[in-house]
Amino acid sequence: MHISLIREHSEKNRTPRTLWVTFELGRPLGVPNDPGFQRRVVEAALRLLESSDGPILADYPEDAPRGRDRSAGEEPWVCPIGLVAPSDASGDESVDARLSREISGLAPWHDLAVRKTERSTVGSSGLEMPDAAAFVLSFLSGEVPESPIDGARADRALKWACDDIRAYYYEAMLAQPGSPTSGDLDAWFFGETTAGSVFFDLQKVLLEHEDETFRLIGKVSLVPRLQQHRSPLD
Amino acid sequence: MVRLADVPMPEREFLERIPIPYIEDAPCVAGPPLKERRVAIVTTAGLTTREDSRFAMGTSDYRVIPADVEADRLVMSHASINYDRSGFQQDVNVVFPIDRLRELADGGVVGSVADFHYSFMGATDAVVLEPAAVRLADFLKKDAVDAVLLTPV
Repeated sequence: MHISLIREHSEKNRTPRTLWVTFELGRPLGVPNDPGFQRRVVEAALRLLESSDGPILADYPEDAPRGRDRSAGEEPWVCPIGLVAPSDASGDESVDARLSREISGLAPWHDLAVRKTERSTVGSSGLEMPDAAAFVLSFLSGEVPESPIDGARADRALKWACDDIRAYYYEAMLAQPGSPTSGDLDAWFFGETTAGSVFFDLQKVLLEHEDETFRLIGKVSLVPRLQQHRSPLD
Repeated sequence: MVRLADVPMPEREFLERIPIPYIEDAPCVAGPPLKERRVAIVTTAGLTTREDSRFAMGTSDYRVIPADVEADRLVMSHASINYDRSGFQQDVNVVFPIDRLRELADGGVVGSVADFHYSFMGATDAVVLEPAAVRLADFLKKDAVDAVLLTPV
């Protein structure tokens, strides 16, 4: 049986047993660290096996808890770490130095995140964070550097290094009090950090690259569509 | 997620344009009672163990995830960045509910948990994924699996 995050897609393909949930993309079980909630979803999906009169497209009745409701007067999430926003940064400091400082500033929080969760999802590239950042920055000249990952092409190494940088930043923020939503984290990363501004700069370079693979990364694998409006290009 | 009509543009426009294959022959086959079934997870979240090769754009094969994998050994190399990853960063079960499945087996709701689970990278045309999915079905049968929980991102 299949958990569906997009009902309209499931209406079209008519798989035998589908449980549609109202959770956000990326969270088919709804709520992290809520075993009871997750167990109810899994069991509801499995219970569809008890019927053979299909195709079945069932609507799961429970919504995931919402984030803060600003219309109800709840305070918006604010990054508790005093990072210097890219637009406020001194023009004397290079982007390399700012990014390095930002990563160092987040290190205690990322260490705390790892201690709290006993895991990290950083590691797609296998690079240490300073090396991942340096590799990504090396693309801004327009040249394609040698891949630092054995057996992996530079385009793939770039994608994985970018994934690792975002994971590192998000995990560091998730260690903080305040329970940011996914939208809070995206808005912070792409709107307030040097790393986010580097992603936009990199996107500009890649979209004009002669190699189609790099153009594709720039188009679909760097900046979420819902954050694209923060681009200085737009 | 909420219905497409509630999704902000330009995400909605993209999701509306995704080609969805129509499955003509998908019988809703009856089977043994749930409490006797052996269940595997197949996810399209692009998960791999740290020891495995990562997924790349357009990848059409799958990766094996042993049932006893530790959460710290899983990373995500999905091509898309247009979905939330912070849930997975906090708790692997929000995408790959292996602990929930074990609990349901311990509680007698399902019969057992498969020894092996599988991961695809979902941002690939379903038709391109089909040959690997057919091969995978054989492995599931060899593991005596008779129920599969499919989780997307």
